[in-house]
Formats: sequence, structure tokens, C-alpha cells
Amino acid sequence: MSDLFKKEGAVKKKRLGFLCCLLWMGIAPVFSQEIIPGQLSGNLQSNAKFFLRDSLIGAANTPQYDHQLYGAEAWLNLNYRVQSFDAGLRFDIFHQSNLLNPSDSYSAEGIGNWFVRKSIDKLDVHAGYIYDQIGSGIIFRAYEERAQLIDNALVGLKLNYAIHPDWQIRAFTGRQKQQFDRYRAVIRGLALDGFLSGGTGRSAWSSAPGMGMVARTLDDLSMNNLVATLNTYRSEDAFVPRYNAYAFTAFNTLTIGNITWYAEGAYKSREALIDPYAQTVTGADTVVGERYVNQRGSVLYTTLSYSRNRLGLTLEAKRTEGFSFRTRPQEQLNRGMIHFLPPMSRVNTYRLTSRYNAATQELGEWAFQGDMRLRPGNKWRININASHITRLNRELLYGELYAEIQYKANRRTTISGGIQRQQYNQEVYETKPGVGYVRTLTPFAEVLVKGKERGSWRAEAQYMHTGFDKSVDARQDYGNWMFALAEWNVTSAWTLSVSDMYNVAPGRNSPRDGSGNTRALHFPRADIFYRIHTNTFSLSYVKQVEGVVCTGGICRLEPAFSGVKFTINSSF
Amino acid sequence: MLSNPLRLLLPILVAGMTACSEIGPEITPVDDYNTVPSDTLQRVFIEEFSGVRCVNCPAGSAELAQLEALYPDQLVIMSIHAGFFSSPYPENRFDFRTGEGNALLNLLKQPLGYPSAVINRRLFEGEADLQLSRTQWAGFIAAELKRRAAYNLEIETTYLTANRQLRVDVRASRLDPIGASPMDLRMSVFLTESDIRDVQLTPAGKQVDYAHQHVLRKALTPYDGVPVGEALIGQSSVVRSFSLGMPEDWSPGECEIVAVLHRSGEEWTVLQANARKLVQ
Repeated sequence: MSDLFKKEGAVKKKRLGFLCCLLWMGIAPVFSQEIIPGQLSGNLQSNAKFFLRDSLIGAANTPQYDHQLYGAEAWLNLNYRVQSFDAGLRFDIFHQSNLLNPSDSYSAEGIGNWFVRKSIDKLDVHAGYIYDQIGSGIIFRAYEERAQLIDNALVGLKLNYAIHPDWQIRAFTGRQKQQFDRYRAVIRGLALDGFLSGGTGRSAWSSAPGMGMVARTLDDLSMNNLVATLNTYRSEDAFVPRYNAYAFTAFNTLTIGNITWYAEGAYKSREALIDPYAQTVTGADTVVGERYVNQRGSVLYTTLSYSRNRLGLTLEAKRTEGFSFRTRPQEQLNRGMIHFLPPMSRVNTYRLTSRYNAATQELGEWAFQGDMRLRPGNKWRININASHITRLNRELLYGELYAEIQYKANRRTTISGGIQRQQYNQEVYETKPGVGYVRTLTPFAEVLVKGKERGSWRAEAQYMHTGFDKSVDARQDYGNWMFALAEWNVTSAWTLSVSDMYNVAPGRNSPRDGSGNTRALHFPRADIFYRIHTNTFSLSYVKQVEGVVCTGGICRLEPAFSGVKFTINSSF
Repeated sequence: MLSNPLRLLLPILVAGMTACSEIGPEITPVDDYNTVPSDTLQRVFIEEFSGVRCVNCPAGSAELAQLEALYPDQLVIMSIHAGFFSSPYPENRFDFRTGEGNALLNLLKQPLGYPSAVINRRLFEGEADLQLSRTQWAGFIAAELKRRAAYNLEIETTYLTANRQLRVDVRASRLDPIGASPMDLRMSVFLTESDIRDVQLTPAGKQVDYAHQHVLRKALTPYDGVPVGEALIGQSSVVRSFSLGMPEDWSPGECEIVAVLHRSGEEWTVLQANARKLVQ
């Protein structure tokens, strides 16, 4: 074992040496021949959490609440640029962090990202950690989302060649990042992006077509594990898995006058993926649960936008079938994803309107969304949004109607208000059998008043009314909520905020006391923000109810939080 | 529009990336044979983490039952009710949570989702966690069964019906007489009970008479075991004895003693396990 550690240490030293060499290659021109000024930039994001156990709201029974009491994450990003050479390095720290697994503790630190990039004539060479996407990301998106600790960078080489001023071809090969390690499967891809235009005046048009393909080869370890599992299946469920999976896409953005139309079609070859709702016969029983299936996939996605003066219209549609594309089929939830399926419901920002979110269903969904933005006068703004998401068999998964109106009373006062109606299939999204749909009606209002000389006040009020579940004689999920917020921007530097979310009429899933009665609980929050130059500090006391937290179309169940958060964000 | 050499490049690259059909692995579905023959003493210890509120856990238990049938007498299963989904419903007869179960969950780390299992407490190559999702179990069990056993565990039980007193003797033996045992070797002994009819959440809703299998009831040792490494220096075997008064609501006919020999400290890898019915 110790030899192994020594070998790993030696490898790490070699990597660091290699990095230093590469950085020196970039910096060297500064010291040799002539002085060429380079540019150093970067940013820091750091969070510290102090956990205060509150078993009543469910903030308990994790290492942080039980004995660690503290957790932290930090990302320090440095970028250096000189002439056509770029290099970057990011140091990541996770100390007793609950970001990777909200129920567990994760501690590690090290280089989370490095890259060197050099443009040589029309060829752009990028080595190291690669963040990129093809089209809208349906077949490939390597990205970072820190709220859920998604970091799907590809570690490898990317080449970009400008075959024409408006046409470029990209090719890459790499392995996906797994925290400070890498998954073993090799991923390679190819993309062609172009731009065409024509016409003049009102008949002017432009088109940005593209196509791409991504292939993944399973490593032997993953394949052996998969084969051993398939060998426990009955012959009607078993299949011969493939090492290689291929995904293809073709897309185009067409702009004619005020109309923009984006269309993308993607196809994925047959491969092993997990069907969480598979029915498996075992003896006399039929078990519903995860089973590998050998399935091909497809996605059709389009969005049509119209924008003119005071009107903006967007219509979106997406059909998904069997499109789970991961670095290995064993990975689940938000891990090991090679691609990203765009979400098709409104990204809500108010506390109560964002409580229920529609996670993208990789194995099958129809999704439609329409959005209209109006400015009837200088003082009024209207936003109307509707989304409708179903399974392929048209069973409703999520429906939302949202209307918001904003009125600028004078130069200092803006008032907005609206209402949201949701139908949320909690049984599917949160795997809670028998709970059916959560139906909500949420009116909300906001007032913003700017001070005469400096500072501003902002207040929010929201109320969520949930439906009544007659089968259990209780309101759905957590029942009805009230939320109020007051925020005072004292100066451009200081902001104070207090809010409370109150479970005014508890529902079937609300916390219960010792005698089994539901309890109406408060979830208060207080924040102080301080900004100076490019540094922002915040200190927050938070009690947060459990819920499904989504970033884009990726969601996961987050346990309740109770404690104090301190953050520092800086850029230079 | 494209320069001549590059006009050819794109189709060549696409063809290169997708070319050639591959030779796939051999698959032998379970109905092609009855069981996997055992030619080794090595058994695999599976700590399944479960909960009565975990809707997908019955599917996990069904998977383990199927694997148990596939590898008879080679799997030692213990279902630990601990974590997010384990608090009982008001209508549950039993609270399956135990202090030892919670301690084991803390030791082996919380899973990302349920059902989850730890197999021989081994961190497998390519994995970031000890906890493994259901679709990974069969593969790692098959890999562990290929290991050569270094130890043997024998369990003797004496149960007195009159006073419900239980005595357990566990003998750990080195199979390689000249091999040295690690100093950090420990023995853990647990009591599990099967066929407990109680409420469980399933995809069809709450099932009141669900048969819970291999449920951890009690640890006869501390949750992290008792040291036996030192005792094995110069000895080929060591015996440890334990006793327990059985509570009234445990059915001796459904109880099983689970013994595990494992390392401790930095890693807790299981080297051997065994199980024996309380009443033969």
C-alpha cells in the first residue's frame, strides 16, 4: 500500500513539474528577448457552514450535525494570458462538505482544474481540463455547477481548427473528471460549427448550422461489473452490452428579421442504461425498480423566438426518449453525465414559486413552454409563461402557469406582483408513491423603493396554497406556506435582509411532534452582505426546509439546513 | 467553401470514430444454470442499508434474495435500517433502527441514494465510495467471490428456550498456517432476524405485511468489533464467546448469527464472514 502511495506521490510530482514547465513556457517570453506583458486574472469563491442541529426540521443525523459541526468549500481560479497563450489553474478545497452528498461529509483538496491553450495560426490547442459543449449540450456538455458539485470537465486534449473564417471544426478526446480523479471510460468527440448570412435590410438572414458526434468507450472494469450484473438476469431481460456508444446531433439557428428559430435533433446508439421503473419478474413476484435495459435514444428540441419593440415571444418544444448518456451506466443522479438536457420549465426566483421544479426526465418526456414579455408602456412590464411536461404516454408530469406584472410608479418606486399555478407530479419527481400531484396556487408581490440619495428598500410577500388530499385528510406535501422578506440596501456596500418562511397550514409531510400532530414551523433567515471593490462578504443565519434543488434540468433532494453560512467572493 | 484536404477530413474523422463493429462480452443469463458452484471457502459480507420509508428498498432486497439463490451459502447478508428513510411510520410494529446500525452507517459513510450496500467493506477500483448502488452489487460480489480465502469462521450457537439465553462461540482460523495475520484484525458478531412482517413503503404504497429479511437486531460485539489479530500471533485459530438474552418479540427460529472478520483503522475490509441459524 505504501508503495502505491509513493507511486501516486511521484505521479503527482511529475504532473506538477509538467504544469510548471507549461506555465514557464507561457511566462518565459516575459524574461527572454523582450518584455511582453501578460495578464493575470482570477476569482475566489469560498463558503463556510456552521451546522446547528435541529431534528424537528430534519437537520440532523448527518456527520456535520452530529459531530463535525463545520464544513467549507473554496475554489481559487487563476488565469494567465500572454499573446496567444493561455494557462489556468484552479485550487479546490472541500472540508467536511455536504455538496457532493447532502447526507454525507466529503474532505479533499487539490488542483481541480488546469489547462494550457495556444493558438498556432488557425489551430487552437487546448490541453488539460476542458469545459465545452456541442449545440445546446444534448449530446455533450462539460460544465461546472457548484451548487450541486457537478464538475463534468473532460481531462484531455481539444483541437479547434478554423477551416474558414466562419467555419470551424473541433475534435477532442479525454476522460471525465471524478472529483480529483478521473473516470476510466474514454470520451471523444467531433463538432463542426458554421455561420452563413445573406440578404439585406428586412430580408437579411443568418444561419448558424452545426453538427457533432460523441463516442464513449466503456472501460473493462465497468464492463465487467455490467456483465456480472447482466449474468444475474433472466434471458428475457439479459442482453449483450456494447463497449461503444455513439451520439450524433445536428442543429441550426436561423434568424430572419425579428424571428429566431433554433432546432436540434440528436440520436444515441443502443447502450446499457438504467430504467428506474423496470418491471422484473422474480419467481412469482414482479419487482418494480432499477434494471439495465439496452435502449437507443433520441431528442428533438426546438425553440422559436420573436422579438420586436415591446413584445418578446418564445415557444419551445422538446421530445426525449431513452437519452441517458453517462460515462458509465452505473452512474446515477447527477454523476457521470456526458450531456445536458435543457430544462423546459420557467426558472423561478421567488422562494415559494421555486419550491417545486421539474427535473428533466432522461428516459422519456414531452415538454412544451411558451413565454411572452410585453412592455405596453414605459411604466408597465408583463411576463406570462406556461409550461406543460408529460411522459411519452401523455401522463402529466408538470404544469405551470405564471403571470407577473411590473409597474414603475415613479423614478424611485417599482411594484410587481403576480400569480403562479403549478401541478407537480411528486410521485415521479421525488419517488413518493401514492402522493400524486401537488397542486399549488401562489400569489406574490414585491415592492422596491430607492432612496432619494442612496440605498433602497425591497419587500417581498408570497403565499402558497396547496391542494387538499382527501385520502389522508391533509393538505398535500408540506401544506400552505407564507413567506415574507425585507431587504435594505443601506449603501452600495452594505445590504441587510431578513425573511421567514412559515408553514401556516401544515400538510401530510410536515414535521410532527411526539403525539403525531403536524407542527407549523418557521424557517427564518437573516443575511448581511458587504461589498468592497471586487470583494463580497456575506454572513447568513439560515433555517431551510428540505426540498428538491434544481440547477437547469438537474435536480436532487436536499435535506433541511440549519446553521450559519459565511461566504467570500472575490475577483481580480 | 472548404479547402480541399479538409473537405475529405470530416467524413474520414466521422468514419474513424464510428468504424468497425465491436466484439461484445459473453452473457450467460441466470436461467442457463441453477447456481454458481462453490469451490472456495470465501464468503461475501453484504451490508445493505435500508429503511421502511425507502420506496426502492424492496427491489434491493429482492435483488439480494436472487443473488442469495445464485450463490447459495456464499453470501452473508445484513440489512441495516439507518439513515434518511429509516424512521418508522406510526403504524410500524417495530423500530428497526439500532445504535449499532447508526454507528455502522457513520463508519461506512452515508450513501447518495437508497437502496445501497457495502460489499466486504472494500473500496473497489474506480469507485469513490464504499456505498454501492443496486446495479453494481452483482458485479462486485462476483469479483469478491473469486478471492482466495485466508481465514475461516465457524459459529456454534446454544439457545436455551426456557430463559431465552443465547451463547455464541465463533472460531477464527488461519487457512495459511505460515501466513501472518494483520495486527488490526477484528471480529464483529451480529444477530439478524428474517421474515419480520411489518409496514414497508413499496412502489404500490405502504405494504403492512411486508417480509423484512436479514434485519440487524443487535451487535454482540461493539459495532466495530473486538480485536483478534494479536491473539492469532503464533496461533492458528482463536475462539471468542458471546451471550445475549433474547427479547420476547424476536423469533429465535428466524434469527441468524452473523460473524465477520475484518480489518480496522484506516480501512475496514472484510476478510471472511459466516452466518448460522440460531435454531438449526
